Order: sequence, then C-alpha cells, then structure tokens
Amino acid sequence: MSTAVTITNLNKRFRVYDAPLDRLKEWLTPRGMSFHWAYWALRDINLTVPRGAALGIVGANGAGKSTLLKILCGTLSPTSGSVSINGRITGMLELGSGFHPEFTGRQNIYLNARLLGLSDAEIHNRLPRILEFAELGDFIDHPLRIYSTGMALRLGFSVAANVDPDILIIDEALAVGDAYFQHKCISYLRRFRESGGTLLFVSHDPGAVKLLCDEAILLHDGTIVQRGAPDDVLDYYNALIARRASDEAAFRIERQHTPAQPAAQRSGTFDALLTRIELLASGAPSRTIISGSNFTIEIEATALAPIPDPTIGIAIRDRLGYEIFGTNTCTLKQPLPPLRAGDRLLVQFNLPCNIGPGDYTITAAIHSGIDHLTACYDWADRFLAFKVLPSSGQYHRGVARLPVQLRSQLTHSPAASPHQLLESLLGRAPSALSFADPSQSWFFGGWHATEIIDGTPVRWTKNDAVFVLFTGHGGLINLECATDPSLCASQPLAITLLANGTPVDTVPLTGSSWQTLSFVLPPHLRGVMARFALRSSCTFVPARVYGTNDQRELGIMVRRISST
Amino acid sequence: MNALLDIWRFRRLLWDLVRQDFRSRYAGSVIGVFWNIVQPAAQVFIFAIFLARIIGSRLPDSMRMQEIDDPYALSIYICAGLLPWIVFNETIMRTSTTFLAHSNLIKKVAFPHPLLVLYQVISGLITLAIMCALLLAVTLTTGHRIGLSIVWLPVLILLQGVFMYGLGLFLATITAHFRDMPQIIGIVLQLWFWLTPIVYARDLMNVLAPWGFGPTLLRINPLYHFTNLYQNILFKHVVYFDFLPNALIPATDQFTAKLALVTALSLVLVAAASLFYAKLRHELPDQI
Repeated sequence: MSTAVTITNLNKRFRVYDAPLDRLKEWLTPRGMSFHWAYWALRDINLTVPRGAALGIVGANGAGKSTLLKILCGTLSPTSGSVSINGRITGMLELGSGFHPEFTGRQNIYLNARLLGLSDAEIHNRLPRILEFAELGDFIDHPLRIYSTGMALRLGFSVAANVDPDILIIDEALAVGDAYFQHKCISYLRRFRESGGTLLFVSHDPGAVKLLCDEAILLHDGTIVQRGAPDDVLDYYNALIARRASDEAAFRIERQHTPAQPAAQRSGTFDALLTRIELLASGAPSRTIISGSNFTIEIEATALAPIPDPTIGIAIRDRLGYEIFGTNTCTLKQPLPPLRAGDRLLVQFNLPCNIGPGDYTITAAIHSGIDHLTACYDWADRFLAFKVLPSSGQYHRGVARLPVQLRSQLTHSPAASPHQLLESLLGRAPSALSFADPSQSWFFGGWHATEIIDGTPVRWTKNDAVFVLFTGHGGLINLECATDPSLCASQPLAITLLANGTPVDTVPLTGSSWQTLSFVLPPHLRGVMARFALRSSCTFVPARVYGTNDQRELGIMVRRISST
Repeated sequence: MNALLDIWRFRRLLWDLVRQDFRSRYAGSVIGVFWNIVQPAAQVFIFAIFLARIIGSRLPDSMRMQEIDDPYALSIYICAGLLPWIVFNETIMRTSTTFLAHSNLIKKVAFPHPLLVLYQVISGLITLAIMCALLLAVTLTTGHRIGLSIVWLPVLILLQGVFMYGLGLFLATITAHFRDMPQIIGIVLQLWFWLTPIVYARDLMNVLAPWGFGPTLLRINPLYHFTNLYQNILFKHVVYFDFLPNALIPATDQFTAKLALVTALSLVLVAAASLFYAKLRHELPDQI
C-alpha cells in the first residue's frame, strides 16, 4: 500500500519575543545573539499515513494539532525535518478564509477555488456540483456579507469538497453547521473515503472521530504520545484531561497489555488503587452473562492516603467504545465513608443485565465528587471484558433489553368474501387506473416513482407490482405498457397477471413499443373489487445494460390499466 | 525564477485580486469604482490649480521657472510629477502592511505571498495610467501639443511598477516582523515628498539645502529621477515644442542616462527584496 503522507523527524519552533524591541535588537546585533525564547510546538513527529486511511488527531488546546495540519497544508514551514505528500492536498483549516464579504457567493467560489490552485476550466466543470452541494438557492448571487455563518460555512465546505483532493484535512470545520449540514458533510466524507481518499481529521468530538476514522493519534505538548484505534486513543485523551483538571504532579498514566485484559489503561494520582474488579454471575466470577439475568460488579479499592469523599463508579461500553451505561455511588446517592490510609473498601453493584447480546467492557474508577474531573485517584479504562449471551427463552434485537408486556386480541370480521372485505376497507375502486391521479391511492407495492414520458405519467414495475381495481363484467383487464428493447430482443416478455396472489392469465409482450395487453379474468373475478399484481418474466438494470447511474431493477413501463 | 513561475501559475488569482481591489475598496458606495479616480483627481486639482497659482504669483522672479509662459503650464508641470508620486505614496503605504492585512489568508492557504504585494502594485499602475491619460487629455484641450517622447510613458509606468514592487516587498517583509514600520514609513514618505522637486522647481533644491547638498540629495533620490523622467515626457514637450517637437528622446536632462539608471535600480531592488523575502519566508506565517 502506498503512503499518502510521510512525516520524518518533524520539529516546529516558534520564536516568541516578549517585547517588540527584542526583535529589533536581534536584527541589529551581530549574529548569534538572541533575544527570543523558543516555543516548540511540535517535537520529533514521525508519522506515515497510508493512502485511503482516515486518521483522527486528538489533543487538548495547544497540543500542536493545528500547527501540524498547517505544516501539512503548506502554510507553515517546518523548522527541521521533512514532510512529503503524495497527491493533491486540500485543507479546511478555517472555512471561508479566502472569502470577500462584498462579493457574491458565485464570485467567492471562483476566488476561493483559485486560491486552492484550480484552473478556470476546472472551476467551471465543478461549478454545478459546488452550487448543488451548497444549497444556497438565490443567495448565491447576493453579497456574502448578508449570509448567515452557516451559509458561509456551507459555501466554503462545498468549494473545498469539490476540489477533488486526494488528501483532505479538516480542522474542526463541522462543528459550526446545523445538524442537517453535519449529516451531509459526514456522508460526503464517507463517500470520499470509499473512493480512496485520505482523510486527516481534527476534532474534540469523540463520536465524530470514532465514526469517521479507523486510526487516531494523540498529540500532547507537541509530541505524539499515542497512536492506535480511536477507542484506545480517546480513552487515553480522557485520562489526560482528567490529569489536567486535577492538576496533580503525582498523576501517572500507565498502560497494561495482558491477554486477559483488553488494553487496559490506568490513570490517576493513585492515592487509592482499585485492587480488584470482578464480575460475578450467580455469585461466582464469570466472563459471560445471560442477557436479562442479574449480575454483580464487585470492586475493591485500597486507600494509600486519606480520602475524605470517595466515589466509586462503573461504566459499561460496547464493542465500539460507546458508553451504554454508567453510574457511581455519588449519583446513586449512597455516599461512601471517608477512607484512611490502609483502608480497604468493597463495593458491589448489583444490576440486571438488560443489554443485548455482544461484547462489552467494564471501566471502573475511584475519584472524589460526582465525576472524575476534580480528583481522580485511579481510573481503570476497559479493565475487564465480558460477553452477553442471548437468553434461551427470549430473543431480542438491539443494545437495550427493555421489559415488554404484550397484549393481543383477536376478533373476526363477518364479511362474506375477500372482495367485499377489500371494498369495505378501502372504498369502491375505479375500473380504470392511470398515474395522472396525484394520490395514486390504488397502486401499492412494487412500483417505481412516477416519471413523465412523452407528456404522460408512467411508472416502471419492480417485480409484482400491486394494484386494486374494480373489474368490469366483460372479464378483461387491458394493460397499456411498453418495455426496454433489451428485454424483448430475443423472445417476447411474458407478463403474468395475479389476483390475490394466484396467477390468472399470462400474455406475451412482443416488441418494446407501447401496446395494449388484454388479460382474461375467470368468472368469479368479474364485477368485483380485487387485488391484482403484474409480474414480468424478466427484469433489467439500466446501470448494467447501458452503464448509466440508474441502479433500479425495471420490468415494464405502465401507462394505464382498465377493466371492461 | 521559481517566484516568476509561481506568479504565472496563479495569474488568474492575481487578476482576481486586482479586480477585487478595485471593486471592493469602495464597494457598497454609490459610484463605486470611480472613487479610485475621483480621490486622486481631487488631490491633483488642489495642488495643480491652487498651488500653481500661489507659487506662480508669489515666487520672486529669479526663482520662477523661466520656461513657463502659460497659466496652465505650471499646473501640467506639477501634475506630471504629482501623479506618479500619489500612486507611489499610496502603493508603498498599502503594500507595507499587506502581509499583516492578509494574515488570515497567509495562515490558512498555501500560495505565493508576493502576489499580495504585486496585486496592489498593479492596481496602483492602473490608476496611474488612467490619471496620465486624463492629464494628456487636459494637455491637449488647453492647446498644448504632445511630443513623440510620449511613447516612453508606458515604459516609465512599468518601471515604476517594478520599483514599487521591490520596495513594497522589502517593506512588507520588515513590517511583518516589526510593527512600527508603517508609522515610520508614513513620516519618511512625507519628508521624501518635500525633498523631491514635484510642487516646486528643481533649482529651489539649492535653497532648501543651502550647504551645497542640493545636487547630491537629488542625485541619490530615485524618486527625483522618476519624477524628472515623467516631467520630461509629460511637461517638457509642452515647453520645448518649438525646439524638438518630434524628438523620440528628449534632449534635456540626460534622459537616457536617467532611464538606464532607474531601470538598473529597480531591477536590483527587486532582486534584493526577493532574496530578503526568501530568507525570512519561512518565518512569515509564524510572525503575523
């Protein structure tokens, strides 16, 4: 696999001058004298990103994320080390930075695209796609200053997205848009990835990183402290935030990789230690639990220093790292006694396993107060993995096992025949149907959306296109239909009419032009309301036959159905 | 060489920036683009009409320009030096802060930064060309003739552009690191204006610098050479049309030597400024 980005021994130093005069002194004095101090935003970064990968970059403010992205985009130069990029790179560092407020949206598209290095012909080709993606309507020809923030954002994203980069760099750009636009951007990014694009994504939103990225790096104080699956990296990031909040020099972070434990990660001041975390099913340690049964999470904590206000908490996460349940002794309003050094505390959480079958992990922590941000003593991330098995009695789908109480009632309708029942439920159907009727209430499953062909509304059938019709006493159903030449090239297409699920009559369709087929009805289907279906012996997909984008499966094209 | 290639590659962007500059400086105002002409025209009007009257009437006979025998001639003389000066002054003021003004763009998008100087120079040259055309129209309508040496005007305007680009790039790079520059430049430009014979005759320089510095001060002042060339092209034919009406090269004031001098000076300045910029290029986005 070829690489899209290779970074070797990258360092970035900013010169910081405390006073403007210092800079002047440095210019005017002989070489070697310096009046600045160096701020190293990035230190010794080595990173390769394979083509087609999606890399999340997480880290606290000031960790060096934006500096790294700017160096990749080429707006900042590295102090030492090298960066090599394979392919066209486009950065959405800040959307709309090349916009001019007095210009119209359309003029700004050209300005922005030229800044990104596109030629006129390239911009011209992409203009329809950009306009379509931005969905700005008439605003596109109004000056940018009357746009809302969200509209300017849409315009910026549309331009950057349609530059067709090989490598796309996104720095928190999605955070500003509304839910609809975020959704649109995310589906664009997924398509971008499917088509082989490489994505570098900076975000503080763990959900977005997990959703879009298959790998992540954690930047801290200008160095890459961890690289791995987004789950692991985000856990570690979480621990780093806790350390910053508790502001304890004694805070340590350890990683353990033992076969029994899935990449467990410990962080905290370790004034208290979680000495044991166990999962009990019917009183005995277990790693499998039957969905719906009761189980116990047992946690033993040992205090190494006095802890006045201990809280012990648990969290259960699913395979993807989403927290599906979490609680602690503080939120449960069952405060724990203060601990002296050497105290050993045993806490049991008894709970029903109302979650669906699958793989889960348990995270446990001992901290002070309601969450781990004030003082965290020991946080054991995904300390223990367990499996939930389906219960033999009851199967359900989804992650939650909600208690269900079912009631059902059966009554019998005394209507004489299925025809009368149909009529009593739906009302009297007409004996001629076309697609000109806007409600088209007599057509049921099996039809594609209405199209206008030669001024007449028509619909293609999928397989078994259902309709309801009141039949005439003449015993004929006349079908005005046509099909594609590719279907009836070698032999006629056989069209079968079914009534209430059973075949009634089959008529050949010869040639692809418009024609009327007549189906003969048996006596019991004359002068009644019945549910019919059309089935063609063969279907085709335009995308496969003609290489168009049309992926639909098509049978015959119907204009009108009537009965005499 | 690389810089030239970059500029060629981004030529459409450059043109966009120039257009944007013209339209946006007065965007939202009623007469829009025309303010680009009206503003300097007002300045020219003030200097050329009022100052010409005042200077023309108050100066003792000995210091009067002997050549001038026409009430409009002095106005045309002042305009010939003033128009290039106004454009020079404004362009240098603007280009020196261009990196700071476009810091948002520099930090977010990778493109050759000297474009930000170049587009302002080009937009200044367009203004200058339009104003020169207006001046020529005035010259003709007041009954004066235009000599053949007018063919040098586009060359001279272009040379001034090269000079302004070099100086602008140099000052813009310094300003990015040293924020006091715009204030200093403002003061220097004022001083420079009065040290250049634009609204007074060259001979007056001897009075301004009494210890014999006058000629030296003039010789080392590139703007004197520029304005003098403009005056030779736009004004001297007004005065000397009797002598050399159709001379391609004005016979006075070492015209060719001065032209060669400003050409060499401009090219050296551009080369030096480009080297200077290239040396500090990598630190530019960090400092703004």
